[in-house]
Amino acid sequence: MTDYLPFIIFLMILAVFLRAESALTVIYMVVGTFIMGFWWNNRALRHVEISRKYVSHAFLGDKIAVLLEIKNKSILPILWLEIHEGLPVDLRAGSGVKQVFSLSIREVKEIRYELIPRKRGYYPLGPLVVSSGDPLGLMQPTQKEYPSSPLTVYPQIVPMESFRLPSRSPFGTIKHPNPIFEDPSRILGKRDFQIGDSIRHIDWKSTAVTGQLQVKLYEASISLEVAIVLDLDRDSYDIKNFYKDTELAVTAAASVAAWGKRHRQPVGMMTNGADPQQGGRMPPILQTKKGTGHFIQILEILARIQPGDNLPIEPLIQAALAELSWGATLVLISGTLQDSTLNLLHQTKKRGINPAMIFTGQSANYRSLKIMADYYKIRLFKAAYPHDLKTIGIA
Amino acid sequence: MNDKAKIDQPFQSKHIQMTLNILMISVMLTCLAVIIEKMMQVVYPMWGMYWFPVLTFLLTALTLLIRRAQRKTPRAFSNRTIFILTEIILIILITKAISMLVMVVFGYLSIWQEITSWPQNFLENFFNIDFLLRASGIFLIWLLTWLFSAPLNKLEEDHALMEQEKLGYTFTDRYDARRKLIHLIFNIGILMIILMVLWKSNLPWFDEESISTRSFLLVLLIYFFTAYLFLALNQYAIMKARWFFSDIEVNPELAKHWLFYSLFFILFVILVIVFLPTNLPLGISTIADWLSEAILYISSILFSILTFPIFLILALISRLFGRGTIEESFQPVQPRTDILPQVIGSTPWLDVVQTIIFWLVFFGVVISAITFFIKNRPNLNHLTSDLKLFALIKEFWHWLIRSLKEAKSASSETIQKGLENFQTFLRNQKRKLPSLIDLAKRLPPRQAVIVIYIDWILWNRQNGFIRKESQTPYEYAQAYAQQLPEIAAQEESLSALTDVFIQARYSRRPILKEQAQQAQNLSKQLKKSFTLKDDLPNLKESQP
Repeated sequence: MTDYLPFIIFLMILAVFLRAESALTVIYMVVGTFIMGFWWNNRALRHVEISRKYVSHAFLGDKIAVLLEIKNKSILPILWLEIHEGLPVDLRAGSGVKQVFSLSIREVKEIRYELIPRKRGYYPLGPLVVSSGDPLGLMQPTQKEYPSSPLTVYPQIVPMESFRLPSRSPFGTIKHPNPIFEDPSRILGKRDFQIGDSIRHIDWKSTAVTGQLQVKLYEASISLEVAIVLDLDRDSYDIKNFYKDTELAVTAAASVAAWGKRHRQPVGMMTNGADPQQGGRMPPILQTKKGTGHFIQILEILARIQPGDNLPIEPLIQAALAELSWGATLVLISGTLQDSTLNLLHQTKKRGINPAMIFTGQSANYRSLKIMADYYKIRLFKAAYPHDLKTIGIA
Repeated sequence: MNDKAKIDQPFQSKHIQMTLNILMISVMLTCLAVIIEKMMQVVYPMWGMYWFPVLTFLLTALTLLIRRAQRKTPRAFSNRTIFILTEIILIILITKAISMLVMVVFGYLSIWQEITSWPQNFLENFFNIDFLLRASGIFLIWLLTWLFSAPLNKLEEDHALMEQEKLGYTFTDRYDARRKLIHLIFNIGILMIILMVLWKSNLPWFDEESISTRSFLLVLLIYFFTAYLFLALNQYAIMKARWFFSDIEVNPELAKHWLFYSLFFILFVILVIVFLPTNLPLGISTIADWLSEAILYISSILFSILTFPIFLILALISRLFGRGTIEESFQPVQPRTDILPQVIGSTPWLDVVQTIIFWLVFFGVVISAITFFIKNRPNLNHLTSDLKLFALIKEFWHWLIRSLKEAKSASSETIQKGLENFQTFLRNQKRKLPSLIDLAKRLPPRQAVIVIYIDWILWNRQNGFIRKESQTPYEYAQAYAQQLPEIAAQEESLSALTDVFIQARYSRRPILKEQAQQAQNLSKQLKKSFTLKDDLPNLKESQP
């Protein structure tokens, strides 16, 4: 339609020149429509405000309700507004959010949709692409992109019922059969003094009451300081099952962390995966700590972390050694066990750390690896599928 | 079920939309017919088809309906050529019948005479000039309807076809159809505007009075109003198809809103343009003359004002040296008032204002249109940025905007300052309430003494000597004397004032008028000495 503008301008000049002023009204109408359409088209989206309301963290399978609030702040109505919310495939529940509607003066439109996460991850909701135009189609519709907002989906947690980890840290909360880890703060009961009992165990009050020497019996307990080392290097996994095995490794890490939390033990984590929030770099090492907050922090990293061509795991284990105290347990989760890694784990044992490994995937040489691990007295668990984690530790 | 409803929803209003489209095209062509009919009446008075617009409306609607039926039921209209020929023959016969009727009405010929003349020379007698002119008018409308019908059919919603198109079996270029419609509408519209411009111009060979300006204008406005509404609805049809192909959910209220907002949009434009000045009381040359002479007049006044003191001094000097011809030799230049009455006096001010507004609006619209056009042409935009002239214009424009902004900020600052000053003035006015001293004059002696003392305290406070809440009058007097040793000479006055205040405030002894007067005098003395104290160092410093 704009092709006609020069001609219309010429007509305007002609009308003035020939003093046919009344024709100007019509010409003004033609030109005015263009100008008004142009103005409306350019202005419409400037005053649209969009907000996305949702719970930004979720577990697998949770239903996430998202509310999109689209507000026209202007006194100019919006004839049509096409919105298209870009949603990751792993979150979609039904068709995507694509709608067209009009917004009157200062109207607020609410669009609700649901998401069902099927895979852990750090997802962007959006971007929301909005387009609008004038009623006559005088101009190309204008488009605006509203930024995406993140959604964190935590990894799957499998309850590890029969999972046991070696530890040499005394005075903890986990019962231990070895009386060497007797904890004087956990009194199990009392009995008569026998020759050979330590004088320090005599309960003088009970002795005074009964008139016979009584000794306290202590419960043996250990503290299990667990450091999870998650290997997500591409070279550590079988290329055929890379995606499946790395996901299983992440699930195993989350499950071990949950196990530690359930037993009220301090858990730390380090991984060589790429964190999108850190610009693809490695996430920071999380020191061993107790508490729900710390556990959530571990889950957040596990939700975001991506496998790829990352650093080998050995330097990370060495870094972990510097952080861990004597008697702590190091759990390596990986899809392979190189000789160098095995040597390193053996060295950690010499330094008072208890190494263990969860082998995720279906490696053909697992049997030989098991033999080697047994030789070095390193506990090796295997999980080929997530449900294997449930029964892990059962001999 | 819901999904089906969503899919069906965009097609619910298709019949209404089709009917509206047919009606709107009929109205548009009727507008054209009105102008053709009016002009033909002037050019060829034997034209006689007063009901040509009505016929156009019916013919257009009928032709569009037939085209639609042809498309919908291709089997019934299998041989298109025969059908078109039938249509042409029908039009010819109807036109002939109308022509004969007109001839009878005008009393030129009887129907029987006409019919009997055909066998003698059929071509000449049947296709005479009157008939050919009328037939041309009707054929023109018929052809235009044809041109409208093809793209219109493409834009019509056909669920089955659209489903096939979605699957990729067929393709309808809706944008091309719309483009064709736009070209058609604008070509007809511009033709009508040209006719109006020529007809309403001052050119000698057009009789301006034959068609009233208002009816011409009204017809054109109706044409463009209908055309824009038609284009708006077609745009909706295109967008709806696009949304259907992209599986985008369309709000059921959108069709209604589209129609409503389009109407609002077009009516708003009409409302604005109705108030735009189109009246040009003065021609370009007249307004240019007026402007140049106004400038000349103002400059002559300014020159007179500037030269007046010089001439005055020269005249005084001449008188001083005894020259008698000063009136003749040193007369200041008088403003040239002779030039103004001829132009300004004969030009009504209202016309001048109207003309200036007209030109402002005219150039505003032209510049906006050019800007819009350039903005829509990225290549042109690039070209204009390369040209020096455009760069200069752009620079000038930016300078103008900048200057306007600066002027705006400067004026707002000035206004703000003015307001602040005014507020300060008002505040000061409020402060100028009767002072405590004045109040004291009207009070009984006891209250007068108290008020005088309070006034003195407040005065001290204003001058930097603040009384603490805990200080008694004597403590205050003591502090005053210590703080200001320069006025130690006034110590007696200080204690006297304090005593009289204590007496008035705390004792039951009667207070006499004289005591009140004394308190006032003491207060004055103290204030004076306080003021002098400030001047003393300055005096000292000023001494050599």
